[in-house]
Amino acid sequence: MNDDILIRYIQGKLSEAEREAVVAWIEEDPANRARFERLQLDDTFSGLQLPELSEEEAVERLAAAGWPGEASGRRVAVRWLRILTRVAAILLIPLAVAGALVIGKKNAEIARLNTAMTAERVVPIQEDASWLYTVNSGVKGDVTLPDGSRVRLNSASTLRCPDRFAAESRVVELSGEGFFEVVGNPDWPMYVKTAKGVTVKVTGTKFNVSAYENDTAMKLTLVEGNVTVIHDATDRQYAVRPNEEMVFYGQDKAAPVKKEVDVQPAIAWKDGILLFENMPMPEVVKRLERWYGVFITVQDPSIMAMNFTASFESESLSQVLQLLRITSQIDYRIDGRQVFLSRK
Amino acid sequence: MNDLTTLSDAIRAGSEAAFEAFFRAEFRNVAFFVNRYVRDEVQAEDIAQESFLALWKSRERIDAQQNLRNYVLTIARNRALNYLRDVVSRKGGTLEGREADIHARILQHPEVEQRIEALETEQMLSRVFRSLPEKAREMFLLNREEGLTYAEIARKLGVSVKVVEYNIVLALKAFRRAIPKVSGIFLVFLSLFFGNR
Repeated sequence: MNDDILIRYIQGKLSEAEREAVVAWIEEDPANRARFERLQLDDTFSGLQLPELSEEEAVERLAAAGWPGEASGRRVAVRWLRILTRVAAILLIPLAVAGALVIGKKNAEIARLNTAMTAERVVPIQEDASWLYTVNSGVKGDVTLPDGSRVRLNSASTLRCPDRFAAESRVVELSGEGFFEVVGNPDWPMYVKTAKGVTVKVTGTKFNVSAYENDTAMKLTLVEGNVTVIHDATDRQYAVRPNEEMVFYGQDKAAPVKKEVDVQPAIAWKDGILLFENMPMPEVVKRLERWYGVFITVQDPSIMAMNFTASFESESLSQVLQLLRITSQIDYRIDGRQVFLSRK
Repeated sequence: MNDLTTLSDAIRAGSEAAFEAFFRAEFRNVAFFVNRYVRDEVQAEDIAQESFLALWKSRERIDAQQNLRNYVLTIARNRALNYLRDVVSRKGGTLEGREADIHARILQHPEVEQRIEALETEQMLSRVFRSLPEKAREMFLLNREEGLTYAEIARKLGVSVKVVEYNIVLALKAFRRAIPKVSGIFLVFLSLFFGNR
């Protein structure tokens, strides 16, 4: 199917028989669907008109930006803008709107999750319609739950919660990392289910959960209050106290490791600090990918055996990589959203 | 930050005139957007109107930082999605039902929200660009669009390389300062895509 026909379809210029053919083509193959979706979005968003700019505003903005002399407001071709915005959609925008949350709606998936569990579980089942909050790589986002509890989501994380919590419990599902500040109510526990087969039960507290599907471990760090951690497969429960950290390695091993820690390193991300404390490179790579929304290819396996210690607050990716280059045997190359690490 | 911020203040304070101005400026855009998914002009206009009405009714809760157009487009997106779900459940299997399903899936894509947000930045960047002196715009386009080096531009326009460099660097600075929310990352962004050639 060529782009011309698809564009004419998108613009509503086809006959019924032609529409039928396009629809069948889209349904036939996910790759076709993806191509159609891309064209549909491109055409729709390029069709939205931007309101005109007021002259004073332009001058004001430029003066603020330190541009010398008179500004002229005449229009010129803005072809480059299209390129810019295409890139912006993937890189710049998620950063510019740090709170950009994508809200999905009722989801059939949750029903599937529920039927896969028995009713005698320690963790209650959430039947209600749910909202899905998604935070992309390179961004962080804030969610306020229906009870007023707040969650800050780290990059590449999702949180599912209902329109309204049930009377007996508050159930949310987390994939990725979140810092929770739960509104206290001893008779109304909150359950945070994670993709790692572990559920956190709380009644009012501040804690951090890191449960990325592509990480081996699930880590809970408690700042305030009390929490109970439930291993889903065995229903075994573990109490965690403030300034303690509990780590589950893999789904099968039920026995978690608990230790007293300084909580600050675990929650520094919520204040925009990227922290590596003698961290193995595979972990560093994953964090950088999420934090900056890039894909990192390690071209020399010996790099993965290294450890890295550093703290960044508002540094750019290239500043981070430059530091890595100065302090280690690692060299880097950036190509769009791809980063390649090699030995010097 | 932009011309809608003051409008947003006025609308929050209950100014019907401000709301009308906003409605006039944006109604066609919102109806166009909705129609691209709903594919029925009458329904699309209804949904667009309902979306503006919903914004008006909840005006007291609008965040001062919120871009009004993003806000109304997001409402419209959710309403269009509800409408499409209804079409899918009533007319699943028919051509109309299948089309509704295809378009409902697109509307649920996270990219829709990102692109709505991107409109705001696009608007801002195009303002900054349009207000650069003509010579700077020309040099900027030759460099970024045509891929000419500073030296090539200098030769073509009969000026020194220093002049070209000065103009382009200042243009980049203007963009950067116009986007205060974006920190170091924007620098990478500029250097990645607009780096010296």
